[in-house]
Amino acid sequence: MSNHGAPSSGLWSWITTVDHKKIAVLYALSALFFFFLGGVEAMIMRTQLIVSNNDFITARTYNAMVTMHGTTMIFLVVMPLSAAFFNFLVPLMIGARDVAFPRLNALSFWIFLFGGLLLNFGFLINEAPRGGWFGYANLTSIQYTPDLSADFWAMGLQVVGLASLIASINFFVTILNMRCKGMTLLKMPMFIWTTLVTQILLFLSLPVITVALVMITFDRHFGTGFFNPGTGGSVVLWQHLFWVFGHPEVYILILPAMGIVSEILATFSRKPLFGYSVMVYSSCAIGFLGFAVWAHHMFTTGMGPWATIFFTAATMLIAVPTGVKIFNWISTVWGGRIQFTTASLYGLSFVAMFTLGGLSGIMHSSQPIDTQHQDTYFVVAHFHYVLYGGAVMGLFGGIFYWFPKVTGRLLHEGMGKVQFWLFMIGFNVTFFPMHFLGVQGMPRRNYTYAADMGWDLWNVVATLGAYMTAVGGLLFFFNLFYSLKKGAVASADPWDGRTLEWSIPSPPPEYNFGIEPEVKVLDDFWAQKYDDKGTKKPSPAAPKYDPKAIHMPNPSYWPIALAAGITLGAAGFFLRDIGLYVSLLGVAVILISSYGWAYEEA
Amino acid sequence: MVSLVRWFKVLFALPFLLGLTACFEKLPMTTVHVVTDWGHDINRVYLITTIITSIVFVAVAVPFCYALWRFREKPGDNRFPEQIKGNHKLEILWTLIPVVLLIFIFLPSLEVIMKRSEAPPKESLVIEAIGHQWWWEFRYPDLNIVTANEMVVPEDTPILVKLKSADVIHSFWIPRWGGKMDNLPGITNQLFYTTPKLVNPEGDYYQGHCVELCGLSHARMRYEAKVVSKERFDRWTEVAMQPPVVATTLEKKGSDLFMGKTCFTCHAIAGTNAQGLIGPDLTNFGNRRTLAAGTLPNDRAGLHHWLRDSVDSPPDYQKVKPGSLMVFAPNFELTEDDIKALTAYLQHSTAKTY
Repeated sequence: MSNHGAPSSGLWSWITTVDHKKIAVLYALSALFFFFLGGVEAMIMRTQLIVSNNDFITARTYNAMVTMHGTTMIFLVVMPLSAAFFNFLVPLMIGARDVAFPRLNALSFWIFLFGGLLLNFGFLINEAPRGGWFGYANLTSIQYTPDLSADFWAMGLQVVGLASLIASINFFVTILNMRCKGMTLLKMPMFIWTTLVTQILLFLSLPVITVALVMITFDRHFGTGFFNPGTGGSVVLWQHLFWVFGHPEVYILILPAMGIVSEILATFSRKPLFGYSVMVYSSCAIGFLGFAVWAHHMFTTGMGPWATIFFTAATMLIAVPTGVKIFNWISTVWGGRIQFTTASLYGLSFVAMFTLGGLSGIMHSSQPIDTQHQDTYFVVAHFHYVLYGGAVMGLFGGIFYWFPKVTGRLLHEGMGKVQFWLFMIGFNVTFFPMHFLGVQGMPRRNYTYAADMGWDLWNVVATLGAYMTAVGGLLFFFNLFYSLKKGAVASADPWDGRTLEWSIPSPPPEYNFGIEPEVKVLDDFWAQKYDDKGTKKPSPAAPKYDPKAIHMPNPSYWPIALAAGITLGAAGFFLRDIGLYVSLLGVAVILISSYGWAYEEA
Repeated sequence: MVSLVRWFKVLFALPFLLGLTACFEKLPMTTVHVVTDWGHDINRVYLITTIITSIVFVAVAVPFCYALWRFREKPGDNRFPEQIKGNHKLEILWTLIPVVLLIFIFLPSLEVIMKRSEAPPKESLVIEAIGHQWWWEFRYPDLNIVTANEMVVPEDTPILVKLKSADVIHSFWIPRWGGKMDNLPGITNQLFYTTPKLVNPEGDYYQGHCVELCGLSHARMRYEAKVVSKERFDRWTEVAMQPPVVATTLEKKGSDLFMGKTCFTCHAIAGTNAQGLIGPDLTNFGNRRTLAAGTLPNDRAGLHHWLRDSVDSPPDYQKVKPGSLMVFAPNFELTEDDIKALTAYLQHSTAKTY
């Protein structure tokens, strides 16, 4: 392929890559690094809470841990890990050679990475963010958080949000415009559908938090009073803005994992996904309704009966398409020939754990019940069941499922299954008792608790479960490094899959498909392998093509440069005397990079 | 096969049984043992919801677990499953049934929401609960009483609690009385209750806790509602704002220290020179069970611990109340004798009989 002699290995090839498959790996490795960081933050918190009145860490450190654990897991783990899957799979599953805007794709990654580092920079100067992952005004105002911690949070999140916003446009256009011949919308794999809905949610909701973060930054540094009750501002305004983003955000977090689970369960039951079109409509309904429920996070702010009734009803309503999905997944495995691999174990556990999380969610969808649950460990239990038992388990299933396609080697199944059980048992031992702690009135975001409350037993249990999870995590990292070097070599189609990515070698060539595929039905690859009765069809002859005639986009160093410029511009807010100059330098880098980018040969 | 079924029964029965014990233990902050109408209304909705979600759980778990066992791949199994794509009837069924079940949860919820939106009884006793970092100010505007961290109320009486904040968002919650409501700066929210009937003639204490992250000592912002008989409450209102009675030399020394050192600049004690508004009002301090917003018992050891820690710890790194505004210059001296005197003054002089 004509690529002007681009290097295919080495650090420079990774820094300048615009190949969606390499960018996917960059996202995944970064996300796993932040997963380790977020895990350490969790372990520190659980150790502090193992006994009442503990002094393992100070209140200040604890509040930073609780803030950064949430912020890291949501924005620097689940979202980029999902992005890794979008990156790797979207072109492959729709039969394309790359995304619509390859350099923009690289830009998104570098902005995310630099933003994630900016978010964590506060740790280095003992000013890590400590106002909660939701940064409620007016605790985060300059009056009550005079140091830079709230700025690291606001500007770090601003930069990271930009990455997702840019990527959402990229994937939206790719999915709509670059599907191969014959792949109508209702012949796309389920994962592509959930990805599509996720991108729509991203580009509609991110601008809201962008605006909110600009407002809080201006309040803190330029004397505005949007959220300052002393000057006529409103603290509730922050909550509305944050949650109008924040609620669609949780569907952004769960939909990709739901798509992954749909793929995994179909493959390992050797049956199609049950109710494909209903699953598509349910995903769209969840996305749409996701914008109508935000104020259930504000049930205790005194909104008045009509808003309260509306949001109670809307929140209950969204349970319907969600439940429909669960029933369809169960029907997918029903009557199948279920293979228990590490990937399918994760997929199956998603169904179970997400159901539990959904049921606890139904409880506090009712505002009267929520007035007892809000800000207690009952809510902590609920969202960990859906985000950890749900999203994280689904994503790990995806890692085990597609690792052979990405690397050409299989992750070690024995280690994988041990690690799965450590995660599954550890997770339930930690979070199931938190329902009890919530009913017993234990508030959230408390760096310690008193000895006369009766919360000691379940806190010990929860902490022990966390330690078990930590062992599972370490085993996973060991498996990863081991299998990269010594894993069993994988064929193109090790799981007998149903979708197009399994029709090309493991790992795929840079150009993915030698000849653009043409599909006739949903799960076309499966239909080419088997007829309706299960008789294997003869494999079609390998298509002939000239790899040198395929032009792939050139690598470029402008994306990383532009990302650095944007981050410098944002970082200027933190530096007291030279801040303005750093931001101006950032603007200069942005201008130069944009110019270089625009005039570069694609 | 039999042992597998037994494992499943254990796996599902255990959390259920543990849940029951957890629910029915009568802990200070329990949401189960409620004592007001509102609390009972909430728990009625909660019971209906728990029953319905349990039914849904069984309806999902049983087919799922059965399918995993029945349709698992066995060695030598090369069955090609029927490639069923869907079933319209099932889709309609499992869309409509959840809708119906949710209506059974929604309607009782609606009832409670509407009931809580009614105007509170006109004769309600009004109490203002003002959240501060990190303590609770209670004002009784019609009785001209100001106190802190212990909200004294008469039994079986409608009360209207007006929720305000002096700084950031806090949240008022007495779990055994019902749900919570936020104290938003710049806005006045309200909660109304009919206080429970007296159980213990000496007085009943109900635990409360701030439930919105409000800074470093959010975890140390407890308070108590003290329910007493109506007669005793009336006697309390008469003595609550009376000046302290200094009887012994030690108490006199304590009073001099309080008014001479920096205490009076932040704290108020009715009828004295101390009229500070930054810290909790200490007029009735001797009668309170706890200090530092429920963090320490109000006895000799507790007060000693509080004073020592406040004076000796660097700001933001106190052990009792991290971030507390009760900070002193590094060379500030508070001797053990000073503490004895202050303790005598604060715990005895300010205590009233009622």
